[in-house]
Amino acid sequence: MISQNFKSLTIAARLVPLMAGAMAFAGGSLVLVGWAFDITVLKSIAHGWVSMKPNTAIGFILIGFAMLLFCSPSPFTFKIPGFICRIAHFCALLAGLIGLLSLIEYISGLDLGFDQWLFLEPAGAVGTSHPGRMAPDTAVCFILLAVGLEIIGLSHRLSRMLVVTGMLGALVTTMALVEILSYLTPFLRTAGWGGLTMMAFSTAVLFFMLGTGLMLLLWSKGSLEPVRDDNLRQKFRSPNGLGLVVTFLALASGITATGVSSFRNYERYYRAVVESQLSAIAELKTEELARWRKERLGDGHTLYNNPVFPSIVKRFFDNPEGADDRRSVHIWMKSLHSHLGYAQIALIDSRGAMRLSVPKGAAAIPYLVQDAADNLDLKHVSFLDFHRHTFDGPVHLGVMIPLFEDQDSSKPLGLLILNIDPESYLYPFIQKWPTASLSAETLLVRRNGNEVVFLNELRFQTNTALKLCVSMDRKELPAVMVAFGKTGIVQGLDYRGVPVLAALRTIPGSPWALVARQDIAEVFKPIHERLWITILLIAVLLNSAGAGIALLWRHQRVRFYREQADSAKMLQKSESLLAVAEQLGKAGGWEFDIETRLLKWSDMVYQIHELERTVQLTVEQGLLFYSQESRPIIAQAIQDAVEKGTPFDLELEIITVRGNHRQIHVIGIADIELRKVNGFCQDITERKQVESALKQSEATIRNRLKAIVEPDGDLWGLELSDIIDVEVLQSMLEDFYNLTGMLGAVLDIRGKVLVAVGWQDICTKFHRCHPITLSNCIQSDTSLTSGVPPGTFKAYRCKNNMWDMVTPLMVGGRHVGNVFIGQFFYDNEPLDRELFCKQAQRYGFDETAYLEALDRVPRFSREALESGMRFYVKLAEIISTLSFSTIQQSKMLVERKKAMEEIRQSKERFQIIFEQAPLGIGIIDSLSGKMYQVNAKYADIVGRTRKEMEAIDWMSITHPNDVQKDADHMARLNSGEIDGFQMDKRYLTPNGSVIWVNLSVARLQVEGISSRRHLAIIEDITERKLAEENILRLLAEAKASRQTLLSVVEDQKLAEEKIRKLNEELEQRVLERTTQLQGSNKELEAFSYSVSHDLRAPLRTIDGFSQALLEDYQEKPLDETGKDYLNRVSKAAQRMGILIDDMLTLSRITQAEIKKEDVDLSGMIRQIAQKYQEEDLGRFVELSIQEGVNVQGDPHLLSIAMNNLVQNAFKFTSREIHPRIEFGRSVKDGATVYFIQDNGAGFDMAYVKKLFNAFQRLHSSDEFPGTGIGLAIVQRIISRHGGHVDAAGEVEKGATFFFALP
Amino acid sequence: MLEKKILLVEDNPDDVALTIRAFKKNNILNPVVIAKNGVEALDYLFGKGRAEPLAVKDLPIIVLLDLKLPKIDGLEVLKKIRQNELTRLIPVIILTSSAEEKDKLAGYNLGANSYVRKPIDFSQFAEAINALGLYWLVWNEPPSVD
Repeated sequence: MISQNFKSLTIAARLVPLMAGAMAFAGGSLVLVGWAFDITVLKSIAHGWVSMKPNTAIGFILIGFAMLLFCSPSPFTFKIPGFICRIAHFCALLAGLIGLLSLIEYISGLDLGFDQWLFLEPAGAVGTSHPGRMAPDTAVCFILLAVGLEIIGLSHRLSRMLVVTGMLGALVTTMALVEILSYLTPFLRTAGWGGLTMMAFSTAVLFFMLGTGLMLLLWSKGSLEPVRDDNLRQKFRSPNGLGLVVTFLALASGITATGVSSFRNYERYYRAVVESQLSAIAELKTEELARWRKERLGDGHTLYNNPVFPSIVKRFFDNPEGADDRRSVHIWMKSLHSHLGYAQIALIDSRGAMRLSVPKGAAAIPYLVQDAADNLDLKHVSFLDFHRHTFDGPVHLGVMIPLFEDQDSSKPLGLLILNIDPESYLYPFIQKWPTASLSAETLLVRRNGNEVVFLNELRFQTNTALKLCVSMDRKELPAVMVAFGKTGIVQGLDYRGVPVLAALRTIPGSPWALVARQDIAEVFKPIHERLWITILLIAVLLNSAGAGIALLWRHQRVRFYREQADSAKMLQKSESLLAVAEQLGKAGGWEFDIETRLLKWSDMVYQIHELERTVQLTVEQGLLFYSQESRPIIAQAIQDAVEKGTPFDLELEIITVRGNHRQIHVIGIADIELRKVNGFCQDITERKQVESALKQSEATIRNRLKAIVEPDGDLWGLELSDIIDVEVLQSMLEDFYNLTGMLGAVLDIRGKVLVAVGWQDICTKFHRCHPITLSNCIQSDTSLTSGVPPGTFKAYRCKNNMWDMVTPLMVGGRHVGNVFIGQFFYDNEPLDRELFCKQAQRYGFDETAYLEALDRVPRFSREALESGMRFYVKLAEIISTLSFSTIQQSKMLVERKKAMEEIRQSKERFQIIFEQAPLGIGIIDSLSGKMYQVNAKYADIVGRTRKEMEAIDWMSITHPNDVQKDADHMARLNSGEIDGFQMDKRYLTPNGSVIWVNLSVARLQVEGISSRRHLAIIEDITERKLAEENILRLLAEAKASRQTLLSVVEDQKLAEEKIRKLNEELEQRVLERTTQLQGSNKELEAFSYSVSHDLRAPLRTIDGFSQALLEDYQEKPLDETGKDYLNRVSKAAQRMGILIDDMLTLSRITQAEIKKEDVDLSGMIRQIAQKYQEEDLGRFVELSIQEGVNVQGDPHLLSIAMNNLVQNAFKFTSREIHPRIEFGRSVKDGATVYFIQDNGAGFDMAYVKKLFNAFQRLHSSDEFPGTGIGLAIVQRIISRHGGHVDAAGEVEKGATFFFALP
Repeated sequence: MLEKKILLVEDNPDDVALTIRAFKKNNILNPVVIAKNGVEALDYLFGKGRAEPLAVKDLPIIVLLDLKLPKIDGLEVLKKIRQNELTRLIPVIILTSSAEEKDKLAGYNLGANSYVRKPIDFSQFAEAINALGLYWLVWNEPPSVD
């Protein structure tokens, strides 16, 4: 399961780089298509988004393809074929090169000319600094990916460089992630690094995938080297690289999310600060401007409402020459000029002529007169807005105050104009910015019809006051927005087209509006910085995380491989230990794979089979080592193990390569999951041998013991060595040898040497060393020695031509061994050296040594030998007697002990029976009638204690009515007339109640002699007696009541009987009729068949042979053949006559009516038999007819049937020498049957069913003539009588026909 | 072809004599083995009491089979012949006086090659034998048993 999971994880891990590669490839291709057909969606996803450059697309195609190829290795070898590897390297390199060249372009500022080699991109495209050139970070990503892939392709799977690849992948992922995030932050969309081209959104997504893919590809390459050994794979799980990658991704998203959210927070806060600052500035300025304007109007109203000033002015106008008035007016005006800061003040009369001005002769005075001329009918104080008198003239504004003589006059005296120079206070105030800023400024605008007029001088453009007008259509401008009445913070483009953040205000009580604005670039410059710091921080953190995890992963892998190496070492160590153990235990392990059938053996198993280690076997080959008997057993065991998982443990025999038979102990256990069978195999040959030797010796000992101990023990099973004391005999013979120099030996009946003294070298060093001569020795010792009568001896030449003398050793009348004097020559006999030379040559003995040995053979005189031998004969007799009597004695002892034990046991058994029997048992003295000994039950039955019983005789407790009867029996028993008796009798208990018992008394016999004592056994039958009495009474009652009932029932019964009889008759008639019909049907069938077959045959014969006669004997006289032909014709005609007769008979029988009478069958048969006897005088048939067999039947039909049967019997006995026919009655299956039996040709019981069919014959007509209809007639007749026929017989042993009649 | 035997299973000695005569008349000189009943026929073919079955070369080239036979009838014999691997290809001609459709059907069902009814007229019978001999002994090509 673990390995399954592991595998699926691996596949999942391999899927990611595969998908990344495929998507990069597809994405790049799509973008190229987009460029080719100018499809915005494909190029840059949406309008206003940065497009993916064609070079980038090509880079993706290459890098994607490379990654696909690196993923392509077959899943189980993890080896990339060479040419695929080269293509992948090439693609990766090319992509890296594109990136590198683009980066060089950026750094060096050169244009290498390949930016737009495929497609032209218009200048000024969104977020693009160099048309057609990929973003610098894109270029960097390509380089990183290419380097990463190259490292993967080139380095060893354990290389440290792979960690670098992991980090590169992490870096690419991080960069892509930052780019993706930057797309979600709107201000950052305008420019990439250092204002250079931005990475497209789609590019960023693809890089993210490729970076992740690179990391996982690394993992799948690095860690998934397949571990071949399943056990190892289970034991040591390879470090889980996928987990690490997932950890990294989680960590990376955590870091990124934290960074982004902190940045967004900061950004929001900063923005709020900036906005409030901007608003505050705008508010301040608006208030100030409103206040300033109000003050100016207030100045006007002060003069307008002053009652003194107009009167002075009037006086001045009326008397222009009056110096006082003029001076007074001048003082007023002067104080206004100097204290309130107006640039010029002019007094215009009602005709429009300027009468007085301060300062005198100022350049602007004429313009003031001009302004006044337009406003002579002014009734109230009014504000003169910004205006120029000439195109390039200065900008003015002012306050106009009409002067009235008194409150009611409608016509003003004149007009006082207070001219204000904006440069002096207003413009500087507007332009003033409270903080240091490079781009901030305030604008004052006024709507002028369909345009907006800028009222002040601008910071970035000169000569704008009242000259710069913009159309109200340009709504992105904050100035236009405010002209439309919008206030608050807005974002827009300013007059330069630069994005700005602006606060909009209208100045109350005036047509003016205020715009306080600052370049966004400046406002968010700190945010930018903050962003880059954040990104840098994220990148650093991600890389540290990536590096950390990569190191962790590497560490894990190193540990994993170290563990593997360690375990391999351990395994090696334990294997060597195992090898030692195997060697010691002569046992080894084996294993085979159920799928491949390949067999793995340990060294020891190879040794056990005596097979070279290098031989690789399959299971089936392995089975061939087993012996014939063992092979099916082990094959079955293995099959069961494979199919059902049953383990086995067997002791079997193998035949090794060298042909040695070995016993082995095989154990096998199937591991169905791993599809393997493991096992153990031990050489137990030695153990088995020891075991069997042990068993054998045990059997011998047991045998010996048995023979000695058991009275009927088998002496024949005893070895001679079991009977005699070999050691004593040996020393005796040694002494004898020392005395006489004669060799002595005792051998058992099979030729085994038990005692031997003084054996000659010729025998020990030559004859008994060669297999043939050895067998000669043994044969001589056994066969040549037989048949010597006990107490005598025999001298003979052995098969190796040495002389021996032998006398038999008998124990218990049985020949158990021989005593020898041997290996000598007679001193009066010449030595046939030539014979021994030949012998030496024949058996390849060293001739010289052999002859030397021959010379050493002793020579004795016959007398010496014979006296020596007589000694041996006596010795043999003594051994025989002593040994046998020892055995007998020990047997007797044992027997006695056994008998004692039996007696003890039988006594014990009797005691148990006596005490615990459910019957009363007692011993009675025959004379006194005293109860000697009674068991508890006896006392219990008669209601007394055992002690009381000892004091009384039986008569005193017997019911008076039974005493006499019992005493009579007892007397007969005592006199010896009977051996025992049994009777029911009554005892009287002490309390007077009567006890019925069944008493059995028998004379006790000890060793066949009668004693004075009797054994009495009593059974309490009181209850039975009572029950019997009850039953008798009940029976008597029942009898009486039955008598009364019977007379009632009798009448009814008679009626029923009548009906039953009628029914039976009816049934009988129906049955008869049916049988008759069936018979006639069958007959009809047979008849028609016969007409078509049997009747035609003679016709054919007649026709055929007459034809032949006509053909052959037209010209010549009849010869023998001709006569034969004629004969045949005539016979056929006769035969046809018989056939027709028979058939008529048969059909007549079928129709004939049956008249039943008494028929004397015996007489009928005798008559028929005599008739045939007379017809065939040449032959005597022995008849045996049972007399007085009478039946009921139709005499005519029965005589036809009997005729057929007897005729048959005569016919089929025609070949017998002593034919015999028997008729009689017997009982078969419980019913009376009649039979006719003969000892003729008989028939095979197989055809018994065909026997009675019409025209069916078992013999051809030249064997026994006939039509085949006789038995059919018999059957017909008998069945018409309602009986049946049957037959029994055997070929050549006669036949018996049975028939039964109702 | 000449040494090949004809097995005639027929219990009627007259029919045997007539059939042999007809063979002679028609120059059919193959030795004729006669079985007087079904048991004898089967014993001949499958060897009762004989250690080995009939050698392939000793198998009859044709069997003429009467249907109505003592002990084992012709149909039974035919069945046994057809059941035995050795004899199942031997042509068997039923030669009988029975004209019963039942017998004919049974005969063909059990694999008889031909069914010839013994005519009463001898010349017809001789002709039938002649035709039989011509067809089965001259024209018909038996399958090679080896």
